[in-house]
Amino acid sequence: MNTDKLQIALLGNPNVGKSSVFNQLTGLRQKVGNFPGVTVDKKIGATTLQKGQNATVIDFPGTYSLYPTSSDEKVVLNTFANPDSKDYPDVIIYIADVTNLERHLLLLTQVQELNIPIVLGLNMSDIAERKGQITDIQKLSKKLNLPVISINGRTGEGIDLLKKAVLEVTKTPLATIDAYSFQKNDSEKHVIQEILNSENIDNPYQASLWAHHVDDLSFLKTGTKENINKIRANHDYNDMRFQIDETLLRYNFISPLVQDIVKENHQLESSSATDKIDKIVTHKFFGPVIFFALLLLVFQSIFSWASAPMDWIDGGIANLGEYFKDILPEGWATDLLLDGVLAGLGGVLVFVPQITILFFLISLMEESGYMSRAVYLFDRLMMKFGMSGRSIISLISGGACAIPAVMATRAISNWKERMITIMVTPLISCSARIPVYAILVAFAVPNETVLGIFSLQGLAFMGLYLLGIVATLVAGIVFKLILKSDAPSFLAMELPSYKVPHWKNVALTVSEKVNTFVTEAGKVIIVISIILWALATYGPGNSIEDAAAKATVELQDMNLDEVASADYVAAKQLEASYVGILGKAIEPVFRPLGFDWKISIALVTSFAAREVFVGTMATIYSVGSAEDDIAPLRQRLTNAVNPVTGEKEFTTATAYSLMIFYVFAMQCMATLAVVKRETKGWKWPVIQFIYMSALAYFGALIAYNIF
Amino acid sequence: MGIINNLVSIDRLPLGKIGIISEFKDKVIGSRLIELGLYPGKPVSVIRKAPFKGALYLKSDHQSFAIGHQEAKTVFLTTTSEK
Repeated sequence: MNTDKLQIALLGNPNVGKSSVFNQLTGLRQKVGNFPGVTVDKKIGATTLQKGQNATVIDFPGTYSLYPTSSDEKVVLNTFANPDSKDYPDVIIYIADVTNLERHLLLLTQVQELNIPIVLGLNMSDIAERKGQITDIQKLSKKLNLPVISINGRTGEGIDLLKKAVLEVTKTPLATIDAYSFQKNDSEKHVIQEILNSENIDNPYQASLWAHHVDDLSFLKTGTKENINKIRANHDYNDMRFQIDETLLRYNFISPLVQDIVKENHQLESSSATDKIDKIVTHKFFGPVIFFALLLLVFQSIFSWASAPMDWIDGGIANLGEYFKDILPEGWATDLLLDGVLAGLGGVLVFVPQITILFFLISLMEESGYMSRAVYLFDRLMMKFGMSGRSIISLISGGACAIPAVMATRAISNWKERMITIMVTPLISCSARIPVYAILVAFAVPNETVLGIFSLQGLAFMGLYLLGIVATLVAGIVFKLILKSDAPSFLAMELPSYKVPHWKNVALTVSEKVNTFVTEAGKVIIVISIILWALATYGPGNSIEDAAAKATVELQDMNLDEVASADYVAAKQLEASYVGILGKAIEPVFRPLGFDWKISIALVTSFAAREVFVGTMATIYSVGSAEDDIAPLRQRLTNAVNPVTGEKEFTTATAYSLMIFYVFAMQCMATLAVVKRETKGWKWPVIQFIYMSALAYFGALIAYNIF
Repeated sequence: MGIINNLVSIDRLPLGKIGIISEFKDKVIGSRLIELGLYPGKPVSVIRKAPFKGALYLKSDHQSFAIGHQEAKTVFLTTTSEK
């Protein structure tokens, strides 16, 4: 074996604390990659087994067995059934929960038949100790014929011994496995033998996996698949029957073994604490109440706690820009650096506080075991809309910002449910829509009170939010009908005992999410920012300079102060830029919605982020210096009259039409960049952009014609 | 007084009563339950149900599980009752 490039697979059931062990082994020396052809993340890290002996560790998704029921599990099967895979390991570190050995040994006995050297790490030994459970590790090691190490993923206890054992199993030749032999019936034996002969492979269990999962194994060539299917048909191969038989036979070996080596002295204490908590937390009435209280906390924290750091980032980037403006020579390169690159960087970093806070809270919920209770409570409800119980977290977070919400869908294991959640989440009104709604509602809805207590403007705001929620759910139903699923969607899962969250895992989850966003989605955001900046700054030929000169001449008769003059020039320059030309070019498309070229320009620029709409409108209407104060813009909009027709430029109908447009429109490059990152391609963000834009267009068209 | 064996699906098992898993009618759900350690011969009881025909909260050997209402209809148990 080539020990210079030792490849270790970290394998085990879900919720076994595998990621803690991965973190202990690799520390911060980890990165995220892709498994071929699927959207499942591959976490790879480097570890040092001993001085001068490094190894690569791949953290495989939590898996119950080699009979996959989700996309995650298919990845594991496709790697382990394919010795030619570049992810195929030299050694397996198999992590099992010592308090729940019986179930955790199932997958172990399966991969053991593939003749890959294995070291078994028994995790949760501290919990076992507290429960008064004693495990005879030596006996277990002897019966399973592999090294067994007691470890604690949280404290790092036993990790060194684990590394040592890995080195040893790579040096000693493989012991043949005769600890147990699983009876197979004649049909299966024949199928396996024929595959071994015809496909030139030598491991019977590998042949059995090929026979069983022929349709799920993407690496098999068409000829091989045809051959296997023929063999299966000849011998009347019944996969369900064999699966149950095989699994039960394994349990027939595992159950007595576990009973033999595990001695329990006390009643299960932590389990009864879990029971007490669950009595309230999963209660018919209090369960949902507690859940929504927690979600309110999540929502509130992304919304309000993030606003201060977001302002710091905005302010910091602005100060940095000022600073560089002073020290750098004037010219296009400086403009590009400051207004293009630096502004784009600001546009990326500004999302970091929201992502940090959301994933801090989500990983607390995941780590403690609460998340699976939320799934228990809401799976049924979300299923109607094509989503999973976990989707509800994304939808609610989407109320603050779609970016962390889309990233949070990673925890949804069913591909179809995850896609639907990603596709519909941006329809929930996020915080960036608030400034847009604010100016439009203030313009169109009278500031009156109805029924004594309700503000009419407040009701209009709520109406826009509700419209977003309804659209989200309806879109969910539609996607549920359209999308094909790769694995059936169903609910059958473990509800793990509650645990105190481990800070190191929480910190690593948060830093991984922030890192992925900044490095991967960030690139796309910066590129688009630079393009938008260039379009808004430059025009064909000398058009910008000409527009400025012309405006200066006009200003001489207008008697404006310095600020108003600067605003006026800025408006004329924007009009003369490529964005201005683009806005005028697309005006005919938006005319039926009541949008003139000025609004069309704002639609183009607000693709960067929805709130940019307000800023652009302010610039076009020559009140750019008013910044956050919307009153001057509102005043201008009310008074604006088309010089040719004498009609009002901005009517109530236009305002309503725009409101509806912004409820539905996918006007956010950052979200599209994240969707691209999460779905690993441009297909889904493009579909999303098209369907949301169509919804926005026709929604606004209807609104414009009603009002 | 005699003891008879009844075959019922999990969704019809009365709360708190223990049944022994006997058969699966659905391949995928059966596979997942076996993986979770809920295979024929294991005792289960239903502790509570989520509202509006939601999921069932199950216990088996001190461990907790959740299974959807529709999914529960595909898992059959034997129960013993006195007559």
